This record gives sequence, structure tokens and C-alpha cells, in this order.
Amino acid sequence: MIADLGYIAIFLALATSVYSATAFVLGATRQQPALVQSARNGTYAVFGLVSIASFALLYALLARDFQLSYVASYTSRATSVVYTIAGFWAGNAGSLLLWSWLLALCGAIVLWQNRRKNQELIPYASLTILVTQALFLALMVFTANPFQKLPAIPADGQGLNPLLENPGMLFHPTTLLAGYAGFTIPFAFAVAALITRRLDHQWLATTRNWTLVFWLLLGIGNVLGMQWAYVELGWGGYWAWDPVENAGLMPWLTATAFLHSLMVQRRGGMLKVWNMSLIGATFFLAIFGTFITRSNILSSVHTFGESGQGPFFLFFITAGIILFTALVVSRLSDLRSEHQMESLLSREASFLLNNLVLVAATVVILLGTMLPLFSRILAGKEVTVGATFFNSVAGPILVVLVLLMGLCPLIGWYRTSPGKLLNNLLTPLYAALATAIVLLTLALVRVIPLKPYAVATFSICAFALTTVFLEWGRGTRARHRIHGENYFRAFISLIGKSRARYGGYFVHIGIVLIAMGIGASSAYSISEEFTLAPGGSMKVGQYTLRYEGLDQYPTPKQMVVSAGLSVTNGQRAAGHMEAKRYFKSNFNPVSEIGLRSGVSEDLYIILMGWDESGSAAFKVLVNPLVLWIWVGGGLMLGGTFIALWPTQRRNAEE
Amino acid sequence: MQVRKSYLIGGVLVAVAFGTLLLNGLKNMSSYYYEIGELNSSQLTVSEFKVRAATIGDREVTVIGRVTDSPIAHDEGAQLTRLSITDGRQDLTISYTGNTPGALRAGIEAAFRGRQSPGGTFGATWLTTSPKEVKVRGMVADAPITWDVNSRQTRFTITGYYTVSALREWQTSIGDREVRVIGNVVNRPVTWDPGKTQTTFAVTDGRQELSVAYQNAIPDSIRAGAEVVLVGKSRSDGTLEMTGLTTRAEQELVVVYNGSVPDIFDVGVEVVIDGKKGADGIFRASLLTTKCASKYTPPSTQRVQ
Repeated sequence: MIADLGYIAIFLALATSVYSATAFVLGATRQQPALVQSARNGTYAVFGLVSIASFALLYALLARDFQLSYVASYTSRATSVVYTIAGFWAGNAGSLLLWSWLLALCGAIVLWQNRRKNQELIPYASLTILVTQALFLALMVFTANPFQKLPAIPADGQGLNPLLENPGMLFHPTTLLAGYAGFTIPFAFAVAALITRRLDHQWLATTRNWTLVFWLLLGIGNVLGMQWAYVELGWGGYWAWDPVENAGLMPWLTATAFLHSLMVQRRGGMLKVWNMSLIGATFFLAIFGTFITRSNILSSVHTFGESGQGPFFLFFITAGIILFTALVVSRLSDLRSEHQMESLLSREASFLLNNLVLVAATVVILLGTMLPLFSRILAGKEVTVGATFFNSVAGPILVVLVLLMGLCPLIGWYRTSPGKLLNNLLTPLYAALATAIVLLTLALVRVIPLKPYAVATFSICAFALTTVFLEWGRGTRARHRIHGENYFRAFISLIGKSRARYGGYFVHIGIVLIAMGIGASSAYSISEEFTLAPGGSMKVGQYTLRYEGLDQYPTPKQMVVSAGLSVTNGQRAAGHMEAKRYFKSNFNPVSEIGLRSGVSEDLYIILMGWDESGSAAFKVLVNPLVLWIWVGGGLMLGGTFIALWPTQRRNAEE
Repeated sequence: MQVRKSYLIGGVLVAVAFGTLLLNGLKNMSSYYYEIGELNSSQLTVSEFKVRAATIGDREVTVIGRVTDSPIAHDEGAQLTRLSITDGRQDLTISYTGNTPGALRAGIEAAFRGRQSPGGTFGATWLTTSPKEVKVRGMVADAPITWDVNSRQTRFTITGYYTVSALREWQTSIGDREVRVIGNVVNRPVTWDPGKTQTTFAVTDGRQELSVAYQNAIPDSIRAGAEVVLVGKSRSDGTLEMTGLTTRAEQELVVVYNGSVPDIFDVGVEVVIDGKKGADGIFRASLLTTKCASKYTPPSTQRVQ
């Protein structure tokens, strides 16, 4: 019953999307407001219909309606309510529905927000959104129906894979999907601006916040994915350069580039074609990311398995890129720069450089990711690159980006005199030098191993951090002088008055912290494997681990085998840790690592296995500064919120 | 104009820097996925070489073996070295032309590339005592997976073939690709149609059957009940366009791996392993990556523990 309702709703939503898209085009080109109004209503109706379908699936999941193949595959009677809800996006069909719903929601909000403005842009922006929406609805109608029924109703469902029963499952897929889906909005406005030749600042102003929100969601989605992989997959790392991980990173990189270069366009009317290309690239990379999660063209641990959806996506992406490129080319005369860059030593120029680096990083990652496919097509042989390739290429890029992050804010708009720049640079340079000296001294007295690459990374991080503090300090002192506020108040109101700029610096600090975490954990991580009999002990780094023995006990859901270890850090007792393995029927056993996360380092214990005598094998890692990656993610979140606030207010006041 | 020019130079510099980074990376860090059959037919142990000598003919192959205690004869003038290598069961005499590395001595494992010459010796033109690691792709076989707590070593077999049931299950996702399928010839007459010059027969894994048409006369190995490994193009419509035959031994590889195994590692899972094939024919893996076929698909494909 509810299943039929859901399927019918998806089908009607597809029909309505196609109708509304057509009506928008006809209404706008033939100047028929009634038709446009009908299409607007249609867009709201699509949101309503997709919401009905989503509620139907949610209801079916919560009601344990095992007649639905999807419900039977991802939940069971034993699955908790929270993970039953998470079952919504555990599979291909459901995650498509979520994608579709998020897009429909954004489409409806866009219409509502612009009900009294941007009247010329809206028909074409909505058209773009609806066409994208139609792709996802068509995928569900023709290839992956979430409401597919089973011939017989099973007594119980298969349940969610225990690997997915992690808080990460609640937030990582949702934020990532929201990021993917959301990039449709800025893209849609770009298309609308191109079609209507209204290429002034209006569409940029309209999409800036949207871009920022989805850039944030995608970024957070990636960081949450790293965190999840770190605590759940049990290999001691957080980023494996898997194609699907790369797919989430690439649109984020191009969107980061766009967020910077749009400032250049808003200030000087430059880089218009470049910005159009970036927004197009971001959108198509997001669709591409959704695609490779659903296809077998690249081997990845994250894919859903083949679903026959390849042709749909490939057609959409190919046709979309051709149309969009043609559109940009046909509007080249409207996209001419209003100004020329005055000097190489200008904020504009440094942003352009940061853009080039970000885009180059994207290209490198894209080539590396697609290499197996390209080589299969071109040479008939599958050639692949692994983590070493990506690390050796992306590592330097990340360092260059952090360097630019320290440099750009010190360079003024339009032009800066070399003398003044040098003057600005002195303090950050001293900080970098001091960091290098401290690290080299530590290496000399053998406290840490000597890693030149890591020393360079940390010096550059110190450089970038000092720049931010310098900027904050300068602004605060100025307010203190002019308004007579005390320093604390001055700082708060500095950020409050110019939230985009000074709040944005929180994001920079976040990125620097992430870079430090990545740098430290890849350079100074210790990894050891050993076997211990009960009572035996082993030294890893400065920790001594004493294996107490195995414990085996059932819980309502599964069997647990747990190895207890007492830990001493140097001479100090540091308590008890457990590394476990869960056995759940229907699924492979799942490891749960023992993790002690600290400000300076994480102690990470994997239970590799055991035998009848009670001896157990462990893999133990000491990963420095990993905690700061997650803190950096939090700062990104906070900083973006601060940056988002003002424009909305100012818009409201205007 | 001045600024524009400097941009051009700057842009070119960035592009060159990235290009260098990329090309270097690709050159030094890209690797090629071997299929198991491909590895087994190009890198052989002494025994494997002896068994397949007839089919190898004068094709260039690599033979891996441990240098025996018998004296290494070296002719400085002709740049010719004669030695013999073993896999513990059989010996093979090698005559190697070229510079001999100092590391080549009794007990050392080495790989020799060359062709067999009449008289049973192997004429090598290239050798290495430290072969490069290769990447091999396969599926974990339904054979014992052992793990030892003290050595922390996992031992398992990977295969390059599908069972008939596995093929059926994955056929849509495999796409139009060359696959190998293992099965027993179904106990019913194999038909040979001279008009169409093709043989039709069926193989089974005990659960499902696969009918194939072979555009050739009946090979001797196709007898009722015999185990065969078919090579062919899998079509997404569920058929197999058979192009040839191979053997089980050619399509299996025993692997030992020291290290922690991912949770999803199990029978039927696709894996990529990095490592080297040793003189004993066992592949020593330094890295194991799983491509989970089942993480998001219904657990019908997973084994109940």
C-alpha cells in the first residue's frame, strides 16, 4: 500500500518535473506569466511528491515492512530505530531518493526566496534544477526503485551491515549527499545568468551563500568520512585515496577555488569565464561523484555494486558538459573582464594562483582516479596508481596551499608595493623560522626523528597561522584605538562587523590544523605488530602495553570477543583499553579498535586475531596530532557559520 | 600587457610544476594490474616451467628459482654464466648472457627472463635478484583461509575464475569483459555442428548451469564430468562467448600476507594484492586491498560465519 503510494509519487514527480521544466522554458521564451506560474507550482509539487515518497520509505523502514526488498535488505527487527532511519541511505535506491529530496527541497527554497526577485533568472535556474531532478527520479523509476517488492515476505530483514552501525553513518552520507545535491543551485543560477545574459553581480550575490553552505556540507561530509574510516575500518588511517573518497574531494577543491575567485569577480568584474568554468566543474564533479559510487567502472570499497545506471549518468554528464560549454562560448562577449589586473603583487593575482593550484590538484586527482579506466580504454590494460602516488602529489600541493593561505591575506587588493609586503611578511617568516629551529633542535637531541618534509610543513603552517593572528591583531588594535573598546570586545566586534573576512580566517585556521594533523600523522606515525600471550607486554613508542587476556561475552545483538590491555605511558599508568571483534549472524566479523585520543597523539589498537591458548595478535599505532584534524573540521564549521551570518542580515536590511 | 605576460609565464610555470609532479608520479608509482592467469603464464617456478615447457615453446618468460649449490660457471670472454636454480623439487639449468651481478650466489632467489633452448636449458638474457613488486587482482577462493597467531600470517588462495553461480550473480556488473569460468561438463552429449563449425555444451557448479557454444571442434578435455576452465567474453544478457580454455592451476595463486586483514576480507571478495611470486610459487603479499562486493549489496552474497 504505502509502497505503491511511494512509487506513484516518484513517478508523478518525474512527470511533474518534466512538465514544469518544459513550462518554464515555454513560459519564459513566449512571455507567458501564467505558464511560468504553473511551472512554479509544479516545482513545489515536485518537492511535495518527493517528500511523500521519502515519508513512505521512512514509514516502511520504521514499520519493518519487509515486503519491500529495500527494507528487508537494510533493516531487521533487531536494528535500532536510529539505524533503521539510517537505512534510508544505506543502499543505492534510498540514497538516490535522499539526493532527490534534498534537491527538491533546495529547489523549493530557491523559488520561495526569490518569489519577488530575480524574476528573469528563476525560470532558467529552476529549469536546470528540474532537469537534474528528472535524472534522479528517472534513475529510481527505471533502474533502482526503492519500493521494489519481494515475491514473498521474509520473516525478518537482513539488517544493516555492522560496519555501517556507527554515528558516522548518520551524518557522513547525509552531509556529503547534501553537498553533492546542493551544488546544483549555484550551477543553476550560472546557467540562468548565461541564458538571460544577466551576467552582472546579481546571480553571484544570490548564489554566494548557497555555495558556501554546500561547500561547508561537502567539507564536513569529507571530514566525517575520514573520522569514520579512522575509527571503524581499522587500518589506522583516515584517507585511502579510494576513488569514492576522491570523488568527494574534487568538487570541494573546485568549490574552494570558486569561493575565492568569486571575490575577485565581485570586486573587479574579472575572471568571469573562469568562474563559470569552476562552477560547471564543481557541478559535474558532484554528479560524477554520485555516479562512481553507483558503478563498477572503478574499484572502490564504497560502491553500491552495479545498477545499470552508468548510461544515464554518462549521457547526463556528457550532454550537460557539451551544452554548458556551448553556452559559455556563445556568451563570451558578455563575459569579458571589466578590468585588467593591475599588478602581480595583488590579492587578485594571488587568488588566481591559489585557484590554479586548486584546479591543478583536482586535475591530478581526477587523472589518478580515472587512470585505470583511461588505460583500459586506450591501452586495453588496467594501470593504476595507489596512495603513494596521491600522497606524493597531493602532499606538496597541500603545503603550497597553506603557504598561499599565509601569503594572500597580506597582499592588498589591486596592488601592493614589494616593500610593504616584505614588511608584512616579516613576523610570519620569523614564526616559520622559529618553528623550523625548534623542530630541528628536537630532531638533533633525538626527541623526534628528523623529517625535512615535515619540518617544512610545520614551518609553513606556523607561517599561515601567524598571518591570521596578525590580521586579527591589527584589526583589533585599530578598533581599540578608534572606538576605545577593550581588546576582547574589540576582537569580538571586529569579527562581528566583518564576518566574512575575519570569520573566514577561522576556516583558514581549521585548514592549517588539518594540514598539521595530516603532516604529523603521516611523518611521525609509529606502527607495530606483535603477538602476546596473556600477561605478556610490549613497548610501542613510549607506551607499554600489557595484555590481560581475552574475554568473550554475548550482547543482545552479537557475540563480542574483547582483548583487554593495561597501558602505561612512560612510568605513568594510563588505564585499561580494549580491542574487540563483534560477531553478528549474516555478516562478517567486525573489528572495533581500541582508541585513546589525545592532544598530542592517539594510541590505536587493532585486535588482529587470537588462538585457543589465549594468545592474541595486535597491531598498534601511535598517530600524532590526529585529534587536530577533527578540531580543524570543527573550526571550518564554526568559521563558515560566522561568515554566512552577515550577508543574510545585510540582505534582510536592504 | 606587461601584467598579462607575467601571468602567462606564471601560469606556464604552475602547469610545468604540476606536469612534472604528475608525470614523475605516474612514471614511478603507477602499476599494472595482473590477472592471475597472466602472472602465472609470464612468471613461472621451475616446476611450472617444466610442466608447461611444451606449451610455452619459444615464448619469452620469466623463471624464478633459488640458485643451487652446484658451481656457477662463468666465462668472462663470452659473458656467459651457467648455473642451476631450483624450486625445491626440480632443478633447471640456466645459461645467462650478460653482466652477472655480484649478489648472484648459492641460496639467492633470482628471476631470469629468456627462452628455453633445445637441450632443456633456459637461455636467459636478463636477470634480477630483487624483482619488483607487482599488483595482482583476483577473488578469494572457496579454499581454507588460515591464520596463525604467532607469525600473524594469513594464507589463502585467490582465483581468476568465477564459478557458474558467481558469474550469474555478477554478470550484469561485469559488463562485456573477458572472464574465466570454472565448472564441470554436464553429463550429457556434447554436440558438434560441422555446418556451423561449433561445439555446444554446458558446464555446472552443482547449482547452476551455463551453456556455451565454442566456435571450434571439441577439445579432448571436454568430456562429461571433467572440470574445465572456460575463457570468454561475458555478455550482460547472460551468455558467455567462449574463446578458449585454460586450467585451474593457471588461474590460482596461493598468497601469504603478514599484516592485519580488513574486516570484509572473506571468500568471494575481490582483492588486489601487491607483492612478489617466490621460487616456491607462493605469492608473498606486502599489501592487501579488498574491493568489497557486498558492503552495500544484500548479504545473500555474504557468508554466514
